[in-house]
Parts: sequence; C-alpha cells; structure tokens
Amino acid sequence: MDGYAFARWRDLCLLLALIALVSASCTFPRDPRGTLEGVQNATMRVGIVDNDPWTRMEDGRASGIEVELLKDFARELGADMTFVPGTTPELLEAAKEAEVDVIVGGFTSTSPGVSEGKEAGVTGTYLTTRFVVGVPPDRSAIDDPSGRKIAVERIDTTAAMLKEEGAVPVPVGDLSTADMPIAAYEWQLKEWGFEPTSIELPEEQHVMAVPLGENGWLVELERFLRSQRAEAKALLREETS
Amino acid sequence: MGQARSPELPPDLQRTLRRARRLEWLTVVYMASAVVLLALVLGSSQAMKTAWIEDLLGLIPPVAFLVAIRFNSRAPTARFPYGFHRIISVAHLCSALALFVMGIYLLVESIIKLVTAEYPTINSVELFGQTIWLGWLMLPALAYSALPSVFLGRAKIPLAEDLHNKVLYADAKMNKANWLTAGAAMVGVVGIGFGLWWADAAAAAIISLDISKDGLSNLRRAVVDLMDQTPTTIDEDNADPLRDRLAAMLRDLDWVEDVELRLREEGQVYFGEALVVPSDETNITEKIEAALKQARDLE
Repeated sequence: MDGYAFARWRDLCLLLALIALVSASCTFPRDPRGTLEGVQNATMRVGIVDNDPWTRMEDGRASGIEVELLKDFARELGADMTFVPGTTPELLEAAKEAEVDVIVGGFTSTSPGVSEGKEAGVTGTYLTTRFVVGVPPDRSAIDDPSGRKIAVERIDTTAAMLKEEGAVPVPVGDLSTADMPIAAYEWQLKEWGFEPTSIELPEEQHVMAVPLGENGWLVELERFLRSQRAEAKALLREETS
Repeated sequence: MGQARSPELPPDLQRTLRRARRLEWLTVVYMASAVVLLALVLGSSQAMKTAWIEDLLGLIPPVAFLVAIRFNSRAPTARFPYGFHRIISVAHLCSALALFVMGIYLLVESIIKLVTAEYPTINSVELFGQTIWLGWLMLPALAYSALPSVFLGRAKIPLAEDLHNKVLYADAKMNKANWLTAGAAMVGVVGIGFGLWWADAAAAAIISLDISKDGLSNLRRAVVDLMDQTPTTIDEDNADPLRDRLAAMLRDLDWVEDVELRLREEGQVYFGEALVVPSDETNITEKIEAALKQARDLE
C-alpha cells in the first residue's frame, strides 16, 4: 500500500503539471481528426437532410434556418461551404467516415439515430420551440385534445406528438385557412387569427450533429450556436410567418 | 480454539472492530450517495454508466462486512452448533467476487471501446455566459469522487490486519479500485482533450488489470479458506506464524511428547484441534485446561 501511496502523489503531481500545461495552450480540446483546423480558412462540408423550415434543398441550393446559421459560422471561420444532401442514415455514415463536418436536418433531442449520440456527436440545444393548438375564429375553445381532429402541415414529429396526446392529426395544404383546430407556433396562430388553447405540445430542443469525438469542433460550434440564440429565433419567425 | 464464545475479542480489538464498523457505515453512505448522484446527473452517458455500475459493485463489500459482523459472534445454536464465524468467509467470497467482476467488466468494456474505435464525444456547457468544455468539469468531479476512497481504503488496511478480517481487506482493495478508476478516467479525459480518442479506454484497461488481479487473488483466498486451508496472513498466502508458535508452545509443555496441530480459519477466528501424545497422564484434564488457557493467551 505504501508503494501505491508514493505512486499516487507522484501521479497527482504529474497530472497537475499536465493540466497546467494544457491550460496554457489555447486550442483545447483538440480534435482527433482535426476537423476544426480542416474547416478554418478552407471548406465546411455540410450534410443536409431536407426538413422545412429548418433545411431545404432546391435546385442544388440550400436554404433554411439551420443553413443560414451555418453560413454565419462559416463566415466567422473564413470557410466556404459545400452541401451534401442525403438521408439521416446516409449522412451519419458519412460523418463516421469524416466525409461531412456537420449534419443539419431540423434534428431535435429526440430524433432517432441522432439524439442517442452513438453515431454522431450532438450539440447542445440551440433553440427550444413548442407548438400550441389553436382554434379557428368563432369556434369554441377546447382543452382536451383526445379524439379531436387537429390539422398539421404534414405527418411528422408534430403529428406524432399530437397522436400521443390522443388527437387525430390531419395533414392539410394550408394551415392558415384550416377549418379545424391546428397545431402551430404561437406567433402563427396570432397572425392567422386563431385562438390559442391551453393545449401545448412538448418542447422540442433543436440540435445539430457532428462526427463523433471531434470535441474541439463540437465545442466551437456549440459556442457559436449559443451566441446565435436570438438570431435563430428571429430566423424561425421569419421563415414561418 | 475451544468453544466459540460471545465476547471473543480482547478489549483493544473490540475498539478496532467498532472503528472498522464506523468506517464501513461511512463507506456505505458515501457509495450509496455516489450511486444516487451519478444516476441523477449523468444517467444517459455510457462512460458514466460504467462508473455507476462500479459504485454499485463497490457497495457489496461494506454491506457484506456489516452483515457478517452482525452475525459473526453470535453464540452457537442447536441448528448451528459450530457458531456463525464462517459467515465472514462467505462475505469475503462475495466481496472478492464483486471486486473480480468489476475488474473484468472494466477490462471487457475498455477493450470493446478500443477495438470498435469508439470516439468519445464530450460536449460543452454554458457557465456564467462562458462556453466551457465539460471535460474540465469532469476533472474536479472525478477527483472529488476519488478522494474519500483513498482515505477510506488506507484507513481500513491496518484495521483489517489487526482484526484478521479479510472482508475488510477486500473492501480496502475495492476502495483502491474505485480511486484508481477515477484516476484513470481523469487521465482519459485529459487525453481526450489532447485529441487522443483512445486515452480513456487505454487507461481504464491498464487499471482493470490491477483490479482483476486483486479480485482474483481475493477470490482464490476466499475459496481456499472455505476449503479449510491452514490459516494465512490476510494479504498474502504465507501461513500465519501463529500456527508454528502454537505448536512450539504445546511441544514445550513438559507433559507433552508430541503434537499434531490442525487449524483452519473461520472468518476472523481460528478453529482447530491439537492431537497430543502425553508423556505423563496424571491430572490430564487440568493440564489440558491450563494448556488451552495458555494457547488463548498466546500473542
């Protein structure tokens, strides 16, 4: 045991010295595969899964809230951008092979495949959103969604959450003219003259994905996204109004 | 030797035992709090799940000790005519197994990590408006979780030796395993910060070898003790010198011609029989009584 005691103090001193050394250096944590250095003053390869309004690919041109955010990030890093369209599994595979630097697609902290953090690293939440059920003007308010038809834009996460609450999601072409309760952001309800009800869907925490283990890159992206929270919110309102 | 009796420890050893019991209660409370805390704070992360399972396994030795000590010195009953001493050996087996399982679990886990080239990803958090890498925060948390184990483990070793309690000894090894793994995790986190994805798993693999070795040697000793091996010292396989001294003492008695001594361990105490060839058979019962008393006062 005494031998161990000696080894312990020696190890502790070594560790402290190591930490001091590390603190002195500026780029920490570092990437095992050097993504951050690879992107700076070069190219950021963005894997993109179509998910309006967060991400869109139209005629080879990318747009959407998350694309706008990354454009600012690329500008900050002095990097160009290339987009790699694909499905989530395809892009997760590409991230593993270090073929993309970041994946966007309106992912949330519950998106299957991404949120587990097993196939890709997941950023912290950069934006939290929540859908509210609203009723058309002159309709009586409802406070229990179960069994009711509620209009959605398409069958997606929102529809799934409605179903979980017991409602029947109905995809309609244009929410703003729907003749039944709709699930939408609060500002959309206001704009379209719908009366918000007390029925709120669970919060959605929006995230992006990066290749596993690229901690320096991940921390840099998280730092940027944290500074852009207000910007992200403004972009969402702009896109959905 | 002789029949098991209730206050069988001399007063100073009873004090030692009380200290040991206090230490073990402290360990249980501390480990349980670590288990709850880890479950609350870091339940989802895979690396922390390993730490959680380790802490859970770390609960086994102190609990085994406290249970064993409770029953250990009860008077023999009709159902248990030999008393309850051997429960300590059973507790030792449990503790040794826990230690061994922990070592092997850690070893397998880290080898899988190395083989599948799993790149550990550590996020950042926002603290006072600053983005801080979570690895920085893990270091003090790990250090904090390791420190009590260092002191608990070191405090238990001398007590275990005085009491000849192998459960306590195995538990001290478990404490050592705990702070070693925390230390390895710290090295791993710093390594990850340097972009060495394998640092965490490699450090854990090296430490797990040491833990498995401790676990295996304790496991082996627990088994041979249950097989009535002659008493040994608690940390090694050397025969306890007490045996030879006892044999010598008996042989030195003027009425004894030759002696054969068989001893075995039942937890903290030794049981056994001495077969003597008397040279002078007058008053043999009194002489045996006197020899028994002398034997008990030995040391």
